[in-house]
Amino acid sequence: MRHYAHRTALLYGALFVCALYFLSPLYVMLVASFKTLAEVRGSSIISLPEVWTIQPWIKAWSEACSGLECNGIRPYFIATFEIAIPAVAFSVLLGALNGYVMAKWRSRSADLIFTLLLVGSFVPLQLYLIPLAITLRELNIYGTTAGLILIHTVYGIPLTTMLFRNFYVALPDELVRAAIMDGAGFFKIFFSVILPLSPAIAIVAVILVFSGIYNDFLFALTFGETGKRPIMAAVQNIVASSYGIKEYNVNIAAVMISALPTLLLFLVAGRFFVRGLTQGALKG
Amino acid sequence: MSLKLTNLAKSFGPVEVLRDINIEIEKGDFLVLLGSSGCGKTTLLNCIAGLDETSAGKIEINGRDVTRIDPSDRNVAMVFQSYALYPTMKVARNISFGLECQGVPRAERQRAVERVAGLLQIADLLDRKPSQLSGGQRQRVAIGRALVRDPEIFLLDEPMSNLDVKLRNQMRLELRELHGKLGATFVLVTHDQIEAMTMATKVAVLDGGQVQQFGTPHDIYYTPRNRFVAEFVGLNKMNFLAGRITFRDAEPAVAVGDHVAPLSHYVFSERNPEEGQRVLLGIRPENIYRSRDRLEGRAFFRVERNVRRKDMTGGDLQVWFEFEDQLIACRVRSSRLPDLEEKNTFFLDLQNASLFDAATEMRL
Amino acid sequence: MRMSANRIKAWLVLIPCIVVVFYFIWGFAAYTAYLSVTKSTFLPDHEFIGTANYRVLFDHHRWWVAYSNMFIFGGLYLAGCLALGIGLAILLDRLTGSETLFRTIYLYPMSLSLIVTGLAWQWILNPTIGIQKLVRDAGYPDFKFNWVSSPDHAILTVAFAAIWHGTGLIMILFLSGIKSVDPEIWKASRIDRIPAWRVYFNIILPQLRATLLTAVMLLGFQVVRSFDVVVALTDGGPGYASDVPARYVFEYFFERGRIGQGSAAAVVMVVTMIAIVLPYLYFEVRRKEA
Repeated sequence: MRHYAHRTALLYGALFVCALYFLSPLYVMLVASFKTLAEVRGSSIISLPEVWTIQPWIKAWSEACSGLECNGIRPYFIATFEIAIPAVAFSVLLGALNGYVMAKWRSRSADLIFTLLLVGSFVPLQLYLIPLAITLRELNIYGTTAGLILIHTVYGIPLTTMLFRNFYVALPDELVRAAIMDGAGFFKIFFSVILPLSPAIAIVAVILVFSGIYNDFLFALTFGETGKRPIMAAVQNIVASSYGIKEYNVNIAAVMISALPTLLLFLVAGRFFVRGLTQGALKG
Repeated sequence: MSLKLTNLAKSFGPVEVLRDINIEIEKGDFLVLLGSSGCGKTTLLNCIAGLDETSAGKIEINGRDVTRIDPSDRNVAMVFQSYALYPTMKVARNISFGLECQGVPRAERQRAVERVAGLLQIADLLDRKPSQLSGGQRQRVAIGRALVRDPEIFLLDEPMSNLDVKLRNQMRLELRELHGKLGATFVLVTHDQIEAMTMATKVAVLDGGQVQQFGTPHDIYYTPRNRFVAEFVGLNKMNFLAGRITFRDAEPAVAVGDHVAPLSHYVFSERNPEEGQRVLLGIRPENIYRSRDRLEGRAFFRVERNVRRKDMTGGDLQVWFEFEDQLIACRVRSSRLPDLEEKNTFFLDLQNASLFDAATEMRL
Repeated sequence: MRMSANRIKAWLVLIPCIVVVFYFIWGFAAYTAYLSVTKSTFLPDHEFIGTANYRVLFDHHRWWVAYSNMFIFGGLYLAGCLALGIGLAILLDRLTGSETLFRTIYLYPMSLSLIVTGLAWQWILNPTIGIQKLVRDAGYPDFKFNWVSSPDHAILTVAFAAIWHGTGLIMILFLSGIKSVDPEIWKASRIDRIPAWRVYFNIILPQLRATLLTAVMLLGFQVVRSFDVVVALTDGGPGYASDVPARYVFEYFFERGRIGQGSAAAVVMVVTMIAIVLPYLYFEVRRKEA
């Protein structure tokens, strides 16, 4: 028995050490964001604050400067949601419809399109930048919210299509056949029979696509509107471009705020995250 | 004529799954499509439903050519093997969804649901979701969904295969009763010959995408058209003996080894056989007795053999003996058990035997 | 027939998807490949100049630094994520209670952006406020830990941060793989007196080749596209010591106005990816068939 107790202790020891590695950045950012600037500069950011202050968070939210604009990260935060919400809605709805067609109205050419979509999702995004810039200019939406909504809808489609298709393939074909016998048409079958079965996979898709858009940096940096850039590009800019004395505590608070939405989403709906990642990954 | 299939064929790419199907049934018939898995019976049902397109041939329902008509306009209803109940809809909406798609007003739909629920005794289930139902209840709902549309033809795809044996027997009775009450035409697909024999007015035995025999259950059992049907139908497998035709006083007889029996009772289907023609003599195990009293005519073989093997099958016993280098099965009542290697006298009654040409395996 | 009406509707529904596939994905990729053989600078230019962009690229020292960094970073990242991820998956599989707590701790970095990841580690590794400062303040004034600003070590810190971000996914993939293996194996191994570590390494992990394939593909994909974490952590510095191809391409597109050369670099990225992935895929598929 002692032997087993020994092993259990070892097991927990190993897990605990790893937990420290994974938790340390979160810890550091939390404590540093509650310190005064003097304290950050006086000691390392790692030690616990002597005086706790919420000032850096307030300043990060409404006063921090990105370039010459000093409105905090609030406008960028809002701008990100203005982009993410429609883009998530469009790409999830289109993905569900695509998945329905590809799983339940199968044809050889639909299978080919799916394969091209899947393989295409491995192309590095850098290859899209120049043609995308040209296209957005032609459409007159370069550097606008509409442009980013279009981009994220388009490049969200491979993921959502794959999620819904794999989910719908597992639904029995007889369900569709029964509905056909009942005289339901293409859209009636989708909206009355298939879609009501989809909340679980829709939640997974919404979470994954939202996190992807929210955490996006490349498109945000390239096509973001000055003053209304998506959050990751903005926060990177705030950190990189502060003039004079670097206000580490404010910068760290800004990063913390920008990290909160997806972090909270993960803590609340972690199991959907896990499901989406393992499911999505296994087919990719 | 309620349903008429003429020269129906169906291929998936280069694979021919149905060939030259000709079936015609009357209103009120109960047609069973019988065959083992992969014989094309479900594809045939789907073609009748309109879910699969046919490659050639014609489908007529009540004299109307429906070959190229949409499933929902054929006035047929279908019960699926998995029942395919819509999981998110309550039972009532499951049943009325078809009417909803046709734009039937709500009040009328509700009356129709009530009528069907009364008929199937599922009125207390109407507010449940399919996941809250037992297997038998689900099946009733699936039947209800078909019933509510008042179709000309009911199509049922192995509706009992997901039920346990006890429930299956009960549903079989209920389905027969329902068929009697409605007087509608039923087409049922199954691989279970008991289902076919007990429910059908007409049976089509399918194999390799072709109809091997189409007729009443009685025809199929007593006058199988070829060796396949003879072997496929019947709970205990038919015995086949290699023999030849001989004539005695211009009367045909069959000879197996040294044994000869007259065939004066046998109705030859086409032309009369020739002297010396090689044949297969098919005798069912239940037509082999251990006492002379049970013989029905004067056509029989009498052999004395040792019991080689015996299998208990519940109500009765299957006993095996050797005859002309073959193991022959014989059904005996288990109250009179023979011992292994005990010598017995067996009477092979040819009154209900079938004769097949040895080469073509078609019935003579 | 209405069946075909439904088919027509199905195709109509697929139109946006078809546009995405043939225009936004494959069309764009092909267009970039085309730009790589043109004289494009600030704007696309259709003058054909053959392989000139590629020759300039291959003569460029900075490109080779970025390109080899991709392999250094990729090797460390794959090895780190796989070793740590598989190890944690096994440890968690051993655990009877409190699995959810540890799993959440190991997985939460996944939900953060690579920008947040890069910035957080940049502060911890920053010599003037991070670990070096902490240790010095604790009474070791000669302690030195400045990898993030050292040309030889900067790319290692990038790998370190990326491993922190990517391990959770590998862990969760392998954990679900391990749990899906027939539990009777454990009964059999106890009767045969096989130690647990041997069961993992000789019996269970060899059954998870498909999981490994998935994991390697996913991680490899991350390596090629890695851009955010580098920008946030070192911004390619010091100098261009920790530059990577994805960042090189971006800079040549938008900051240096050399679209042709940037496109050539992007094409080389893709070709490299295919050159690594295809043989591996081929090998794995053939194994499966054998």
